[in-house]
Amino acid sequence: MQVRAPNGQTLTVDGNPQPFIGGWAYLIWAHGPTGGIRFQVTPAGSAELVSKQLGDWSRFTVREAQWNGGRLMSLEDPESGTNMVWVGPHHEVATFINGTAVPFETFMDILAKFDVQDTPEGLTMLPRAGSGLTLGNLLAVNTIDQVCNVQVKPVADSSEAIPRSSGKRVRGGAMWRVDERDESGAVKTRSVFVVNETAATTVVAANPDDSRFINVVESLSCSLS
Amino acid sequence: MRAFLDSLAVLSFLGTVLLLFAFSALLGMVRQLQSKLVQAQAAVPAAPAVRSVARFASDDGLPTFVLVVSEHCPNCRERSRRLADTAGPDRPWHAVVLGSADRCAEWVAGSQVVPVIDAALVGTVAVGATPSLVKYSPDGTEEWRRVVGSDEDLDAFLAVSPAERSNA
Repeated sequence: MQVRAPNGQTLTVDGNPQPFIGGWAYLIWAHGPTGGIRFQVTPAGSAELVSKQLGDWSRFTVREAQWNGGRLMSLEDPESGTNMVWVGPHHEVATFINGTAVPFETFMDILAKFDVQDTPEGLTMLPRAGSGLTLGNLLAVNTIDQVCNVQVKPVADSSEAIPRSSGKRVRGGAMWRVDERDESGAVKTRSVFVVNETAATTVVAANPDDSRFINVVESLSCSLS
Repeated sequence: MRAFLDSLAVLSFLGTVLLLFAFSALLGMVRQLQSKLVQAQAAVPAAPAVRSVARFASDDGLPTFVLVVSEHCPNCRERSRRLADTAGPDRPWHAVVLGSADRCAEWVAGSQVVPVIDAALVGTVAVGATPSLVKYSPDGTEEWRRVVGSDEDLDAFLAVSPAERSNA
């Protein structure tokens, strides 16, 4: 399976014994001279459905308009701030802005600095020339239902996290196991870290002793190009 | 649908991701960037150049509110109907709905709102998002423009108080 990440890279994932439950969700930062902005890129409609699922929707003051062939939504939480979302035909891009009564224009000014292209393969948002912005800290996230959560980063962003010891050879690269234990010594969270030439992947088990998790770790391969 | 709803768990995972993965470095960066973001937002974008539309001038000294709408936009229809409900001869302003398709005029039929269907003019006014409310002073000069995201925002931009609304 190949998808397009917001920074234009191609994310190639294969070898997963069970399918992923949905589209990929991405976190990405745009860094510029005045600081950085975090964006979430997800399948269209996610922000609305998630906040309804989590019970946040009723707290929001919802505003909506139409812009550039998609919907602009402002989900204002009076206690924390405003989630701004542009919902395109296939994917949506969201960011969080501190404060309330944030005008849509603030978000439109931010998005206008990017060339946003939404296709079935993915939403790309490359900074326009002259914007002074660069994209960084990409994180792609997906889930295999009841088995594990998969998080992929460019290997260059993870160099500090790679252990010095040599990892176990698996199909997706070199693999290290990371167990978090509680006071009694029982494994609370089990994850593995898989590194290859392009990607550093963390796979977090839903259940530490699930053999399906082991199968995923042995066969999953993720790369960014 | 079930699978898709499940995929939403991915999003709630994002919060966990921040905690699990590169905790200290990333969190430090988030705080630093958030503080910078607040500063960046304090810099208000420059106001658009003042524009003038002779057609929206009035000879009675009252300003004109122009709601710019697009045809295939449910919010534009809702805001137009709200404007139609609000407008009246006793208001200290004129109201216009500006669009490029005839059906936009139907949204305000039978009200005090004047429909202007003129694709060229929509292009000239050139709002980014729809629906947008543009205020013109009596000489036809644009005072400001704002995207209207809800009925409450429309009332606020028109300076119609909730009390006035309940009396109407």
